[in-house]
Amino acid sequence: MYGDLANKLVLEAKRSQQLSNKSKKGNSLPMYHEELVRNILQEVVQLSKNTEYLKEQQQLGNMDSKVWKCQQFVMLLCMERNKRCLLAYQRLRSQMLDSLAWDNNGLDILHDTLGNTQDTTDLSPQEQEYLKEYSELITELKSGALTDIDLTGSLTPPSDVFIDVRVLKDAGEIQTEYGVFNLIKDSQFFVRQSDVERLIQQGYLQKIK
Amino acid sequence: MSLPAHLQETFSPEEIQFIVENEPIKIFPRITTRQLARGRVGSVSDKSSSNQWRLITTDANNLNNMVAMQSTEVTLWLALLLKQQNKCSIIAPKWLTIKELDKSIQYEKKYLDRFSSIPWNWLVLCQLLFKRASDDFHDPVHELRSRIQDLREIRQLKVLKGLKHLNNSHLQLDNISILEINELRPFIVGIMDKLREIHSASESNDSSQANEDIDI
Repeated sequence: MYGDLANKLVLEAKRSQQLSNKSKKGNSLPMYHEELVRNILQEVVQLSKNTEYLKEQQQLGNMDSKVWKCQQFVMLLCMERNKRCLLAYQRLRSQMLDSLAWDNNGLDILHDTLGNTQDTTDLSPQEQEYLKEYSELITELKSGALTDIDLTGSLTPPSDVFIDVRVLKDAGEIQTEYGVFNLIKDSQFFVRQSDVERLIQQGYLQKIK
Repeated sequence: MSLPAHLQETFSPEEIQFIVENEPIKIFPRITTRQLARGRVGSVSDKSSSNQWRLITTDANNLNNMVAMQSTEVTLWLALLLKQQNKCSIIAPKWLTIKELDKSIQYEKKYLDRFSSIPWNWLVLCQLLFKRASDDFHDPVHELRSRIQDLREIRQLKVLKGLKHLNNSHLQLDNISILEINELRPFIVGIMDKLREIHSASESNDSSQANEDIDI
């Protein structure tokens, strides 16, 4: 039947939603189902062709107007259904892209839009474009009236001013806005939390309770 | 979205703690910050007083007038910071004594249909104080801890009983604390929303049917 392909797509969307919920990180977007989407679009084209045809037949007077109305209406419903499923799928993906952009991009090093999303091939070209432009929007917001607040920063309220951190990955000398750290693997520091929050988010440091 | 999904409809426990940390609490300072009148008349009079710290988030008046071992009231986050550096000891609130807690436990046991009136932040405050200021209590902390645990369990039982009465219009939860509300929020709000939806849907169906009847 006409809605079945769209149903498959929605099931796929559900699966990726559950995946991202479970891992809590949501930074792994599954492949874009180009094949399936194309098939659905083909279906829609077919449907619209049918309606065109029926319209002609109606005008020629070959059809009962009641039958014609019913056929038109059902075709329309099928198209609506397909549209709904496509939009739901795309919306879910764009939400995941948004959270990706808020979480990872624009942190400290503002200019690595591509370094963070390793799965650039998993995105459709339009999505890549969208991600890039959305990241730019975020940067714009941050450099506007609200520069004093780091909007992409951590959302857990600050509790300790100073924390112990352990270096997990060798990173050489890293410059923070407040001074230079020499990050050698397995060394420990006692630093102000606000200085190293970025490095913790990027995975260089680990907080020690 | 900019806000992660798990924060969109409720507070995280850390945020609850952050809210609670803005409440005032009494402390015994171990340092003196009050400038003596004599000292002020002396060398650098006005400058030192204007150079004193000012806080933008809270009232700094108490902080500037601390005298060692004279109780004063500051916000909790400040008290915890001072405590961490051993510059004050925190005075436990009145209700956080074995006697008072026993009273509220008695109350809880006596009235099975309501909650005793302990402060809205009791769970968070207890957790914070037990962790950071456990040496400041007059009563042994392990006893306090077990009392708090008892209270929590009794109240939780009541909450579970109360959940039977979820309906589509309202719920009365007097004297329930912020943390208890917070852990129930996603569940209760979700269920009540569904109930309300079902109810309103059936109601609008009824009315539309009535209209049809009239039409006929």
